[in-house]
Amino acid sequence: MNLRAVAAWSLPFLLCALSAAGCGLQHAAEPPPDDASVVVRNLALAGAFEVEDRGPDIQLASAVTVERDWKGEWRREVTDLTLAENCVQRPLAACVGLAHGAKLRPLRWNGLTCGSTECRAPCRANIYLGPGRFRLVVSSCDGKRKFVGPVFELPAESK
Amino acid sequence: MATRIKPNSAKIAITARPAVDAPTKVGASITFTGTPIRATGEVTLLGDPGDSAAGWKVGFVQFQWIETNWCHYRGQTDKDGSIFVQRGRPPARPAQACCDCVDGNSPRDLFYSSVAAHGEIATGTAADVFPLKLTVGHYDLPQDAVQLVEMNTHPVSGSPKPNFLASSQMEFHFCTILSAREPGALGAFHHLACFYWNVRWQATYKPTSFTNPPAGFQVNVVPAGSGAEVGHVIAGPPVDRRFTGLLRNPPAQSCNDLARAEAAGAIRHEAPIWKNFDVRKL
Repeated sequence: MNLRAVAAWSLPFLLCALSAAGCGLQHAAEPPPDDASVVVRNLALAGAFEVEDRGPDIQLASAVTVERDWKGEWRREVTDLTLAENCVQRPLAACVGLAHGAKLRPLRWNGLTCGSTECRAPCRANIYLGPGRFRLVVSSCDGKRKFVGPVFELPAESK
Repeated sequence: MATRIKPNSAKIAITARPAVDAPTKVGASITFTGTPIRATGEVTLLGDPGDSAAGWKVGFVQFQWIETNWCHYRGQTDKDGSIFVQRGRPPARPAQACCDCVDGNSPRDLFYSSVAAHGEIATGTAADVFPLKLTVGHYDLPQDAVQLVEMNTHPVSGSPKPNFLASSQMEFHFCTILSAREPGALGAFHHLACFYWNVRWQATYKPTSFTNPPAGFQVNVVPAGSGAEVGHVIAGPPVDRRFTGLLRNPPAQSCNDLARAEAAGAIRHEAPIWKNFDVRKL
């Protein structure tokens, strides 16, 4: 990992640590932070992420929630992002098992609402959501537990 | 006099014209995508002292009115058969025209997206001062994907045979409308200007090996059937009867819903030999 990537990854934590009020993006409607048994980790490229199970074996919902920081509140964006690790897995089952100590490297979110990975999909209406501040949320299969990833900046579309 | 739309104030500018990429092999699929269309729109509201712009909305409405979507697959040899997959016609796709809005947005609301963060809609407030110019943006990147290999299960063939993508055609034609809506859940729509545009992919294919999935895939774009076009902006509401009925009675399903359903429930015609299917009839 290069220094720029490390700096970008560390910035939200540094800002939180330096702020007396903590990270000001938590709001009342947000579910309480869950235990750290499942860790969602951002990778170097915006939208790339990794999921690690540090607790017991778990069934995760294959659908991944994308949340946008909109005027200080986390708003859910509707996308078709999943935990699929390649394009051959489609269609993915509703739940994905993750064993203790195992990691998932899902396909990177490309910032689109539809066809949101390199696999593409049948999409007619489709919006690129950047630029903005986002985070990815993974859920247990029953939806009762949420594992919130760190904030990242999705840049304006380069294409 | 109540809050009203300034005559001839509706303007649309196409800021990025769409383009299509050559179909690309990704994993076990061929994907069809490109670069997006972008547009901006503006409408000016007028009002007198005491009038309010609160609840007025300006945004884009979009209809798809043509869908062509078929693929032809062939086995390695004549006895391995062929398959024609049709997504664009009934019963896979019950109707051509549909209301196009992003997932999470009901087509019954007509607007392409009512999510403020998407920038596709602007809403007046009580604090706004007349004349009030409301500006919005529009973005779309239609795309699709099909399987490289379909299994031919025709009973004459004996065991299932892999059939490889041999040719395909996709065409998505749209009409995008700049609209204003009066306040309230039943507020009247005013469709003020529109433009037509489309994206098209046509290609033939040849696997470099007959493994499943093939290691490589040669894609030959058919130039006459590939590209993207944007028409000029037309003032006033659309009068095209191929989709204007949906303006009055928006359906429950969006174009994305239809696209997913037609992909999942595509019509399949299987033959035990290499067959030249007639795309005009199937």
